[in-house]
Amino acid sequence: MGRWRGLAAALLLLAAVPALAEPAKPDQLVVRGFTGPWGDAFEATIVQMFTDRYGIPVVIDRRLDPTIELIVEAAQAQGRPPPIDVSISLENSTFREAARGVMLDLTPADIPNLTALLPISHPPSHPDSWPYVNFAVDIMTLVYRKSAFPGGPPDSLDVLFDPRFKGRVLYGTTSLTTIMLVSLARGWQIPDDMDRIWAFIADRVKPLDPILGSDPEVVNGLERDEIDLAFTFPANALGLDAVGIGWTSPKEGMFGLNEGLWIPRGLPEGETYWARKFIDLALSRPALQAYCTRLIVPCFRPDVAPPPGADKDPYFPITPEQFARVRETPFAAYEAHQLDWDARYDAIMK
Amino acid sequence: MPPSRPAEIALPPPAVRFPYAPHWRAFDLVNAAAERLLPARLAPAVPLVLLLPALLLVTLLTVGLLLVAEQSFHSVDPATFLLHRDYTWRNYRVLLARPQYLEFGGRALLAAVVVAGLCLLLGFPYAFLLVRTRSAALRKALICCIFVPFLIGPVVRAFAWIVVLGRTGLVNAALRALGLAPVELVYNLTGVLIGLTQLLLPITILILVPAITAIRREVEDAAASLGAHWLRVAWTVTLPLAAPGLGNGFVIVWTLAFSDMAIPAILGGGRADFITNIIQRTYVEAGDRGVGGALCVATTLVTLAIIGALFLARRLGPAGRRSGP
Amino acid sequence: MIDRHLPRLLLLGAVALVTLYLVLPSVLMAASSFSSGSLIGFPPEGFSLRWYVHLLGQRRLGAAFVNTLCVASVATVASTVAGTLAALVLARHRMPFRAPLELYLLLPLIIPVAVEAVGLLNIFGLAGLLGARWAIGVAVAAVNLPFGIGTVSAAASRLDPALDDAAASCGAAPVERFCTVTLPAVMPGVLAGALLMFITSFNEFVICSFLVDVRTMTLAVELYNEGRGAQSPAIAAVAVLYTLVSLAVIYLADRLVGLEGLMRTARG
Repeated sequence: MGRWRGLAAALLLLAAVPALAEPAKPDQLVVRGFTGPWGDAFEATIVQMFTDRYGIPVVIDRRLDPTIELIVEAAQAQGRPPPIDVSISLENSTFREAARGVMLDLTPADIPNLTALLPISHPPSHPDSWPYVNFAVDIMTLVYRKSAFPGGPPDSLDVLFDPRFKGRVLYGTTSLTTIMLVSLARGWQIPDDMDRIWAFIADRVKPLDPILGSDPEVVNGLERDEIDLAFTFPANALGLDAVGIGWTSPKEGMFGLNEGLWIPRGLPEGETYWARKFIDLALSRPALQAYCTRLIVPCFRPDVAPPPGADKDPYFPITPEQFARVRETPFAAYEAHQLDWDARYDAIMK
Repeated sequence: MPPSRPAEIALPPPAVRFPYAPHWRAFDLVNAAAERLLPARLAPAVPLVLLLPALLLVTLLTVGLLLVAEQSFHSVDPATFLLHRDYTWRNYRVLLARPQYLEFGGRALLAAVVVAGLCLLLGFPYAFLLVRTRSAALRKALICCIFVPFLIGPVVRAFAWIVVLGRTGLVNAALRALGLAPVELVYNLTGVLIGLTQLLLPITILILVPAITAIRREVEDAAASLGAHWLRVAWTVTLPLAAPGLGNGFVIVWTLAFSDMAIPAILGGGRADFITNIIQRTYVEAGDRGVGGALCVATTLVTLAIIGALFLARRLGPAGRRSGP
Repeated sequence: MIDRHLPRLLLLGAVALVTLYLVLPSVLMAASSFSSGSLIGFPPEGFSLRWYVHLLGQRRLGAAFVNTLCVASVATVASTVAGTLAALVLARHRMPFRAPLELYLLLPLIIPVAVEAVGLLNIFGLAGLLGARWAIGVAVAAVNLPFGIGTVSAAASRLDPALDDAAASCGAAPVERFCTVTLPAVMPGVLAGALLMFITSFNEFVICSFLVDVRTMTLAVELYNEGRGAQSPAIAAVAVLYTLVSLAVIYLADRLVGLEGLMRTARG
């Protein structure tokens, strides 16, 4: 009789060990996510997988990054836990937030899948730590209205400066995308050639009287025949096929904005644990496979198969050499001057 | 010896009994309590006490202004986007050095004047009919129509204007059907003006209605009976009497138009940004608490000065003798 | 003969145009919400209730709606009380610094919303109030306070002081005079202000977007975030439901006081 009791006790202890090692599951995990097709893809793939695997419901907070950043900073300054557990953000937000120090350091010990990613997933401004992790890249290309290009898709970024598209082209509301576009089209360097870039913007871009906006304006403008052309993410054109919208990669190359995941500092211990679990799952092969296939974006895991048809697409980077062709946004230079450049862009364009 | 009591006068019993109503008893209690809490000698303080809730609510917001003002005196470290410790005027110097802020502010200012004028122009006939009509059904319908635009919310409403005014929208479709060239009515300042006027018309009408109600119908009838043409009655009788309401409406609508953020952003297409949009972009989105903070403080002070001046003009003007707002 | 009716015709014509201007977006949205297509436009393609059915499945919208009701109710009560008291005091008492006080009470409209939001975020954070819907209601009340004051002061400025004096000479104490004479006289303005406040608070999204978290998310913020994505007739359907709720409130106001009552003011 004693043997069985001893065995039962040992088995119970063994069963209890994992439960002891894991903190209690929170009643929900709050994740800040994108809106639009990115948000839908995120919910349908990564978020769903997390809930299926761990049984923790996930609530998505769709407020924009700058708003969340303000709220998280205020919470951290006052010693309160921030309102979100994980966030998926574009790098123009994450690099700034990392510089401000709002992020929790991700370590490969807690998130094993960090080591399975390509080296470019590491934030360039923090060589010794992981404030956030880039896992996929949204590439900006030429999105155009087919009826405006009867001779076939445009092959050069120069069409964006063509006076015949006066009033029918869309540019970004902040300086980042336009500066990158001009530097790419003309082969100039940031920040060395900034004077030429500003002169170009004033002389060639401003007279086009473009509409300035971000993703919602792109979609609306294309749908409602307000614009013919934009330098934006192809995901914005998903579903606009019926209205005669297509996209193509220009010969000058493309640049991309990385999508990243991060955890704010100051969370309670249990939530931090599950937030790390979330990121680890998001970076796993099945999750990234589903997400990137659905959005048709390249991701930074070498063992993820590209979406069907992508290997024939010249713009879709799969191998490291192709990734090298995509110009990464020079955030190091941009970071130092962003505030002045945004102001100057405002002065010229508005 | 105490004076003797006067002889009891026999009165007939009262014809009707007046029971002391319970709510009178309740009021006696309340009055007694009020007397104890605020004895008569503290009576001059009562107005201030009654103002206190409103003042407290507004003070909640002024704290924000003080916080941001404090931030505006520190410069931003471009590497960390955090504020430096030392105090500096740098942000305000930057503000003065960049001409675009004046341009955005000026645009907002003038646009708000146009919107206020349009609102008064369109709102006055509406308010007039609402007050003067003898048909209760029409009045009710007109009141309902004032509230209807509010009810769908600012974002959806702005989007509806894009649908109406856009290249493929209602207006251009009608123009095309008539063989006319399409007009660009949205994603520019025109669209913003159209959207803002519609946004603020209901408030204008709500302000004008009490003002017109105060003008007694008989005055207009008297003028007409003396032989004045209806236009003349309107110009010399109705409008001057309604002037306080018109002035009030102008100030309120101007302030609301100047400080609107959603409509210039959605309907302007980036070509008609107001100073509020710049503040949003600089302070919130770019995270420049320094220059953004200075911009906030500067905008607040300038707006305060303008409204203060309008107040003063109203008080010193022909209708200035009115004591109420 | 036409000349006699000309003013009337012109007036009716002008008002008809203005009415069209006011209601066009709402009508458009209402029509689009029944569209079977996936684009908001006019005329809508086909007739279908699919977007309303789609809404029924959105639980978070229901929760957001309840949150918004709470916030709007608190905001209306707070703003109406504070605004009525303030308007009456400013209209009836000869106070020193009256003009600066009036200007101060206009500050919520003058200070940029971003500033107000940042300040409120910090104050409520320090007080630990950020998860409380009633606190958001108070914040919204503060931001929209000038509306509450304005409608009442329009009525208060026409208050005949003789009424108050007459009541006093009959022996009524101040509190009693306030409840039985002053308040009923300005009640139309108070109710109009309350209605305006309720509707405005329902639509308030800038302040709310800084003060809410996922549990206290309000409908306006939720809609704004949705609206940044594809503009499907779903948001038109939500707008229509919004309108129906507000119309229900207006109907209630009508039953309580009669809509004309809101517009009426006491004549001496």
